[in-house]
Amino acid sequence: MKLHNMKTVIAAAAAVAMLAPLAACGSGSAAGDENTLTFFANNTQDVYQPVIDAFEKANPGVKVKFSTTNGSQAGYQQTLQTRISGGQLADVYVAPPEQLNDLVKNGVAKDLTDESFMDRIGDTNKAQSTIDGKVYSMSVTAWTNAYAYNKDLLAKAGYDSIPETWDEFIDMLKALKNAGVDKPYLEPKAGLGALVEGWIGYDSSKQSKSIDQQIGDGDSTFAKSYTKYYKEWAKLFDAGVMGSEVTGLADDQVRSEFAAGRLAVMPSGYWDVNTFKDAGINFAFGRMPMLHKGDTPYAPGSADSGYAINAKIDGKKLENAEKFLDFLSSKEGLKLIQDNIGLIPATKNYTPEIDKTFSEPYDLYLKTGHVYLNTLGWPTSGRSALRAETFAQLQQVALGSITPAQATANLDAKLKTLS
Amino acid sequence: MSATQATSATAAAIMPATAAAGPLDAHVVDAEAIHLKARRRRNLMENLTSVKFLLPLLAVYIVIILIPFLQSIVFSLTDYDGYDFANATFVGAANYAAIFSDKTLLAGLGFTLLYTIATTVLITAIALPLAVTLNRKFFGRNFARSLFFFFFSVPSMAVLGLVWQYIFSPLGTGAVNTLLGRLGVSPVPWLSDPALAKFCVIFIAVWAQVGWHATLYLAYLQAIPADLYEQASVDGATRGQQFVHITLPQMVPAMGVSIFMLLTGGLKVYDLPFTLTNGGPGNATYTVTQSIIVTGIGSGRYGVGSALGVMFFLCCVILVALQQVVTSLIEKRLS
Repeated sequence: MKLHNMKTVIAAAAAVAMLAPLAACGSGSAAGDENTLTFFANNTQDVYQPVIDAFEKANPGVKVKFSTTNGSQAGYQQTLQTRISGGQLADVYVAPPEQLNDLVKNGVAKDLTDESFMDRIGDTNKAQSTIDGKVYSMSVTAWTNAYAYNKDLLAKAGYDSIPETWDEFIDMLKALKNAGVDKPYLEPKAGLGALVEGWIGYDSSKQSKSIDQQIGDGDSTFAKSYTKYYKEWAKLFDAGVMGSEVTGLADDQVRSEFAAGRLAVMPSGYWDVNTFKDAGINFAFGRMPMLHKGDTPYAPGSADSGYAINAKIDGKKLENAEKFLDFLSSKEGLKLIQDNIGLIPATKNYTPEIDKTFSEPYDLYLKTGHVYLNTLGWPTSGRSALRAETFAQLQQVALGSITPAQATANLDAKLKTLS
Repeated sequence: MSATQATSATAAAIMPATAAAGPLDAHVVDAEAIHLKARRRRNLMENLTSVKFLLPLLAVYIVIILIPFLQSIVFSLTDYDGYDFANATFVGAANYAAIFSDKTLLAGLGFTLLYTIATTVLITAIALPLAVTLNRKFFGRNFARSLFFFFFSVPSMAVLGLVWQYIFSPLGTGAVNTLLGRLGVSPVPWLSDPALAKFCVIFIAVWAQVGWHATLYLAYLQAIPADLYEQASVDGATRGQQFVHITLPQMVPAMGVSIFMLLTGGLKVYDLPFTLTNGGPGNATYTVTQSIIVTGIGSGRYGVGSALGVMFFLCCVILVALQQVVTSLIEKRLS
């Protein structure tokens, strides 16, 4: 071969080598193999693998190809959106409630209303996945926040559980501080003011439209509706029971303080049960105090994201996808989900065994459905930006650089830029 | 004068001579002209082959950079929500107007500029003397070079952010505060004070990148002829004078490369502030790229996100062009 031709061949080979990886991005749906089901979820493979293994064992010949992403819930939502816009949507995927409207509008979520497995799903979970009377995702679990408390530290101040009202709770934190507990209460920077949602949830339950729905629809504003709640929350700083250092603390750092036995109370959830047990501390989960005596207990929470089927698949692949959802909502599937993923099943066909440390919040919030998530009332576009802004504003309240009234006015300004 | 121009000039100088020369001389000149022609053709073929080798990179550049950028310009003029572009409608400059009405974005722009300028100045100020030191002969020099290169430049910024949030924890149990506590100093609110949080982000960025840039300078330093220093020593120049009058002028091209990389990297910063402070406290360490992701892409507002990206690209082009002009002027002045 002449040198010139040789160079051309090498150049061509280099071009192919450079471009091949670009073309190698396969489709999200394993179109060529009807017995391979692609599954995109918002948790890690190690926790889902036992569920997948059991499904494959129950359905010989069907394989599940799992994929996930980094970056918690926001990262998952972004990746899901990117995969849809790039035509890479999996056959079965986790559909966050915040995105369900868009998923349905863009025709990528199959209508599951008449599927037989949907009879097992609880009404609250079904309602969250319903758009215009049709159910588009199968939510089989639910979550709620609760206060994790260190029994030994509370005992130092003469308490054995979380008090019912906010003022009583602040009195307890003061008593803990006086009893020598250096850190009576901490909230993570990206979870400041979590219990405010419980207060709004209770007040919303007395109205025909939730407070956040009213804000989303333009019938109210953050300044009008949220200021009184933020003022109550800011009492933590006025009373000196929580300091501005929380503006620099990540979720894991607060959890580490609690697990090390240095922190008395923190907002948490069922997902922390094993971590705290492994730490060997004497702990339990309790209520989140309400503003007034006699208020029905509400906590931040909602039905978990449901499992949706890609509306663009059909034939054997669709049949397998339906089998997978049927398995996930079966007793065996639900037990595996609870044991491995740490989520609490909320279906009609299965009563989960709840760890006794979590029995109080389970009875108060999940059994009754008294959970509330403010973002669900906000306009679909810009929800995550607005939620991030609530934490940024509360951080400034914690630092004392703005008042609660200024924080809510800033939220209104942010909402305006997002509409 | 380029090589091609030089060849043409030589040919032009030969041609008139051909007319005045005899038949034998004419043959010689003809042969030279043919030889010249053949050489030109060979050069052209070699250039074409070089272009062929560049084509793969060009194709990757077009697919990964150019096409998405052009798409972004189109998206920025629509209300595209990231799902199906067929459903998007043209909104003109509305997305660009939305950018300037968002206070968070402006806060992000402020910190991004502070970060870019501070890291560029500090890294350059530290990396250059560090490279000069590492270029001298001393016991354990190779080990010291490896240490700076590997330990200061390998870990990803995102991982560094996660690790350093425990080191700079504002609690008394944070690594730095534990050390300070042993010295009787009260806990410092490293990441929970806006000014200190900015300092922490910039400090970690400088710490993480200075080794890499020192290595870059070291490579250029080793190309400076040793006899320049020997002559200067003979003439009685001190080490300081040698640094100012020999090292610095010779290092201008390296500084141009380093500063260019620091400026572009600084403007695009996302991972370190995101994992270390998540933009807080408040919006103290919020960056423009975080805005693009949170306010634009993460909120299903690809139009706004794209408008932000396009505006940001223009700012980067202006800043980098300015840097190039300044570097070029300095080079001309020193050469």
